[in-house]
Amino acid sequence: MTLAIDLSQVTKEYPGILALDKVDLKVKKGSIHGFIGPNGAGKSTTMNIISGLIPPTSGEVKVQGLDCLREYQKVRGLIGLLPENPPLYQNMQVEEYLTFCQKINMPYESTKTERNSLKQEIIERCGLHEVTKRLIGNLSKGFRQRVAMAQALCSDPEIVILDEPTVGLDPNAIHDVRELILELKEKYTILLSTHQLHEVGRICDEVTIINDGKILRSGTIQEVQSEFSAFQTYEALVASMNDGLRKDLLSKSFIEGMDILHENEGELLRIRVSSGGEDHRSQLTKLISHQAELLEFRSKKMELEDIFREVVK
Amino acid sequence: MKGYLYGVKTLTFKELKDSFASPLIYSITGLFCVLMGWLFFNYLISSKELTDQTLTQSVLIPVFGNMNFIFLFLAPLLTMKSFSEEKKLHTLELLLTSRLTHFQIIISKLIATFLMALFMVAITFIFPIILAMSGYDHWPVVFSAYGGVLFSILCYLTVGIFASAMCENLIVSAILSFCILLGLMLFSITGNATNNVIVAQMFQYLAIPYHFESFVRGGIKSYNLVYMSSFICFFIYLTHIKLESRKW
Repeated sequence: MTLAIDLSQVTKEYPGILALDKVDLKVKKGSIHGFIGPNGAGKSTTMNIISGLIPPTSGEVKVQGLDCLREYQKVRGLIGLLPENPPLYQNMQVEEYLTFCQKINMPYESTKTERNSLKQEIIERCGLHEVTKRLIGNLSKGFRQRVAMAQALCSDPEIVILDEPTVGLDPNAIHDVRELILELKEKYTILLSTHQLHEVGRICDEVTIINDGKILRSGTIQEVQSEFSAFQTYEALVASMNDGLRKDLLSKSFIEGMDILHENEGELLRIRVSSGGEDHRSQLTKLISHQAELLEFRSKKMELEDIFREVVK
Repeated sequence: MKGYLYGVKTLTFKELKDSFASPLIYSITGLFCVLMGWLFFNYLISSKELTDQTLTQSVLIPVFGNMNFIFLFLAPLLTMKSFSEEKKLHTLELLLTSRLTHFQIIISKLIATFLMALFMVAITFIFPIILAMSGYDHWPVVFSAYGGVLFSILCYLTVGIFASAMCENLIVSAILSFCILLGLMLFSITGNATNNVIVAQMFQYLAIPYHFESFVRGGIKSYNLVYMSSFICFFIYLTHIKLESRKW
């Protein structure tokens, strides 16, 4: 397995704050890796460390096998970064801006012809051909985000780091950005941070969940889902809840936890059980219907969003 | 080395293009021209009454002295955008993750603001030309005075760039750099307040106008150059430390 990004035991401390706590993150070459977590979890800090904006307090960061701290100049050329706040000069034209980005990012030895052909390819790929002569400040948010993505790609990197590229965009623009990311997969390794969890499920090969500076889960989407299939969630809608039923349910050893939600029709019991390969459906229906009027009973598949909530809780 | 200079050139051109596309530089230049033209005219008129003084003493020295003083107010306006604007637009990250080093970024911004100041000062070249029409020919003093003004401006600009790296707000950045410059200028007054000659000389040595005067009078000493060069390098280094502190 070739790793594009390899973080081992990375810690980042600010005075009084532990932003990252022994983080291990491995991103396979050629994959789209989703990086999810609540606000303030440490996503941007991790991405800034990988892109060389800030150094870690301890730990090792390797990009394409190169040490980020010792071989910083080489690593710079390998990474294209789209930060959370797109770095755009409002008074520059789109093409002029991309030319400027190429000049400050690409090696001095690269020829003008090489730069131009790459720039045209990126403009086409990002769908910017109709706005190349327009001022960035006059563009819509969706187009600005595309320009920012083009900026991350225009120095011909091998790894693209996208920090919340869809934030603040309308559904159409989000769809366009998603399509663009899928297109980029052919050529680049992508580390994508987002709050759109269904997007991660759709476009990412792997996912890492981070919270409070700690990696909670990491692996392919299927691996993470199968890990959680060891826990089965059932939903039972009862007309009314009583203490006896609650005590009975919680006394069962296979029940990991239970949430009670108030609904119009009655009360919804969300019961999390450790299945261990067994099906507890009949056992639960019998137990509940014995003590309360059971209106509905269903098993619930753990989506990425549920897993995220469960892990971060 | 070529790659290093190419990086500096790219960023300098971008900065210059930005600055000359904004009305700020033209407003400042207009204000500067009005002030300098009015001062030059007044000194020239009053020089007729000062028959015991040369044109250098009655016109050039006060005009250049005033020019230096006016730049104390204008330099912060020229530099306030350098880093503050980049921080505000989040474009500093773009520069810091590029192949450019911190020194390349700082030097590019310094060169760009210096060229803007040069554009303003260039308009005053007309003053010695007017004097030459009435037979003035002390050109070495004129060149030395311009050298002094430019060196002095370069000092002010490095302070302004440092202040800009410190703040995200343009106005705060301009005020901070003005305060530092004014504080440095007050060193010479502090020197006058003490009875101790050595302390007074030390304070005087730390003030930019003291060294600037040597240039205007045509008597440049090696320590004037050493002071100004060290001053510029010191503030460039402080700006570098400020940029580096993002990593702390």
